[in-house]
Amino acid sequence: MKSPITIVGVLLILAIGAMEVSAQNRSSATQTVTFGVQRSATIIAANFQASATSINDVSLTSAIPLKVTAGSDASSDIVADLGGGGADRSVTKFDRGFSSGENVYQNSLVPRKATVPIAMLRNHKSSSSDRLVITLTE
Amino acid sequence: MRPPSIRLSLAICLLIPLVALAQTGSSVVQTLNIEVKPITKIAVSGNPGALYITDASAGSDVLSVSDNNSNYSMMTNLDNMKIVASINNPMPEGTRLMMKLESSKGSSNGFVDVSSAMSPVEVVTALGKGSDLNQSITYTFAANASIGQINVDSRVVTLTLTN
Repeated sequence: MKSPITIVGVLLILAIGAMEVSAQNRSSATQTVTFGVQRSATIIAANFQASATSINDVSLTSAIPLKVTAGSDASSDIVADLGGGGADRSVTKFDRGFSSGENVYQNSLVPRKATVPIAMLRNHKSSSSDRLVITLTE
Repeated sequence: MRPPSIRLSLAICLLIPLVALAQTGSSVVQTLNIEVKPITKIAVSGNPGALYITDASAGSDVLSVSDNNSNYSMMTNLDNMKIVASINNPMPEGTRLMMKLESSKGSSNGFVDVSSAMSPVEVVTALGKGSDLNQSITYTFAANASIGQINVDSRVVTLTLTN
């Protein structure tokens, strides 16, 4: 009759043997992957400015989140749609705030689109000299 | 009376057959124990280059950058082996990490998304016996256009050659 200590010892040796066989059937190597998203000077320099007169539409395309700033030097109200009717749509009235900036519109949500169509919806007193200026900045 | 040289020659002639008989009756035996154990080895050349997204094309919904400057070598004497990959922590939301391993001995699964591969995913299958040296590893890091700046971070990717 073998003692319990002997039996436990034999089982332990068998278990270690099984682990060794298992370990031989696999081999691993590791790599460290470093990543990041950075704003390059190129993108910062890509700040965009466009102007629309009368009821012409302006379509802007941005691949990165940018801040939209709009202003108008129109002699009367201008209504513009920034965001093209998407989730971040915002119809805003601009009036004579362009130079002073008091009516400048800023929407940090609009830039979270790859494409930002901007449409001038209404210009009550349209004239060729009226401008809606859209500026994209970081 | 015979000279001593003749007697010496006769004595040598009588002894030669005895020596020859003794040599044919001597032998030794050795037992050689031979065993070839399962062998699986995989190694990488080092870490890939940093994957920094710093630019984008206008209108692109996804920004991405790739690196293929690292490679791996493997050797096995088993059939039906595969290489699986896992990552130590999931990638940040809105980003993806994909990898592709070339293979001349097996079948590459192409670009495999390992962004959240806490459990290993197969990247090369059907590997047979033999070795595969200096096979390229390509990583692609992609981020949605809506993702803002992400500070430099890292993940550990483990490649395992297994059955």
